[in-house]
Amino acid sequence: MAFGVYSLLEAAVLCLNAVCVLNEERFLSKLPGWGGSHVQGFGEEPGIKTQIFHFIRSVKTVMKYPLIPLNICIILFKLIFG
Amino acid sequence: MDYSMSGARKSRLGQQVRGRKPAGGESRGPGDGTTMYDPQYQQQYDIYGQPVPQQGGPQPQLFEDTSGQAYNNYGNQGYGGGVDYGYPNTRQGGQQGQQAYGAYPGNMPGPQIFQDPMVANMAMQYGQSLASQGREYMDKKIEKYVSTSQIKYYFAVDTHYVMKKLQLLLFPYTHTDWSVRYEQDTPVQPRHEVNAPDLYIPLMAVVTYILVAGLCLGLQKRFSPDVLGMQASSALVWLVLEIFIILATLYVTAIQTHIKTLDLLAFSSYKYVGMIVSLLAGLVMDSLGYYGVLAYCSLSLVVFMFRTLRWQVQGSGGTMEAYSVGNKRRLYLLLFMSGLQPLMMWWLTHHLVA
Repeated sequence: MAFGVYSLLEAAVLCLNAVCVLNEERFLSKLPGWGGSHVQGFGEEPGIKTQIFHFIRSVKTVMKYPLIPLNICIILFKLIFG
Repeated sequence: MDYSMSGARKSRLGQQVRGRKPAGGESRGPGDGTTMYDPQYQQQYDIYGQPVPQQGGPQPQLFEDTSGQAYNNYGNQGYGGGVDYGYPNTRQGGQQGQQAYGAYPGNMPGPQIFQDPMVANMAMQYGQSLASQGREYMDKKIEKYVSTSQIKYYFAVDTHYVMKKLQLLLFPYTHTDWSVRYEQDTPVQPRHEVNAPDLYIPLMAVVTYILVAGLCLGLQKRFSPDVLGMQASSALVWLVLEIFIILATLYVTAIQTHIKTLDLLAFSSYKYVGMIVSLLAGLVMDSLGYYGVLAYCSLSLVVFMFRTLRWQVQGSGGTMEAYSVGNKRRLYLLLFMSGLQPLMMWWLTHHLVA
């Protein structure tokens, strides 16, 4: 059972950490279909793989810097309040 | 604001200057009592009972807005009262005021100035304009975070709609027409269209669910006041999670739909009605009643969601188009959303039934 809003926040930060930690050159480039921006047509539905890759790339770009202070806050909170 | 004035309005404004008292009953417009308003038919009648040509404003009438009206009536009554009855009073007040003025050092006008009806009226109108300015400012600020103008449409319900919707949630098998009529560009008010989603039933259902959960726990002697808070927050958390999962699925599969996030919130919360009924049945007959009614409510909700969402997700209509890949995805999405509901219903209530 979920315990409350703070647990939701913690879970969200942990998931975002997991997405941002994926290393670009060691792992993501080796995936088939990763450099997908030049392959896409216009108007047709993009495949599920392309959508997921877009999602990962945008999360890494947007959340890389804000996640650092968020993680620091949560660590301090856990240190102080247990 | 509608700045063009019809002939009827000009005559009403002209009459307002005379400061007549309102004739009693409900009145809209400048509140001078020369027009009566029948809320059911949205028709204005003048004092002779003839219908006054009504100018439809740019915004549809969603609610009976009595807030500003009360102040308007009061202000006009005050002014009217001043004209009718204040004349002898001001004479006496003037005499007493002169005596009282002598008591103040330096002849400063004391609190007696507010007994003067002219000053009282002006002060009231100034306060009114301040209050309305404050309200507009707050509305603008809140609009950026929670789109209040959109939310208003979801709460424009009436009793008939609520009864019909609850009946549909528990017995959707005989309803034939599930399409939603759209009105031009504005979102359709649930009051006029049974198949439109609303947020009133979900809100009431969530609150009732929390209370019923407290009742169930109390009957099993597991109750304490913080348990209510925990139930409330966990219900909200699961709701947010479910909506997030559905939004993520919609994004990844790249389906174009008309569905807005608030619609998704409404659809995800309809299961609380079934949960409440199951919990109450579980109170009456322990496990058998709970599981039986839960199975029936799950089936009804799945049918309801599937039929409603088929019209919302597929855009133009429920018929299968030639674009088969998109339709397969839409079908899977519908099945996923509908199938998620019974699972969530069971997950959120099974710990409350012994």
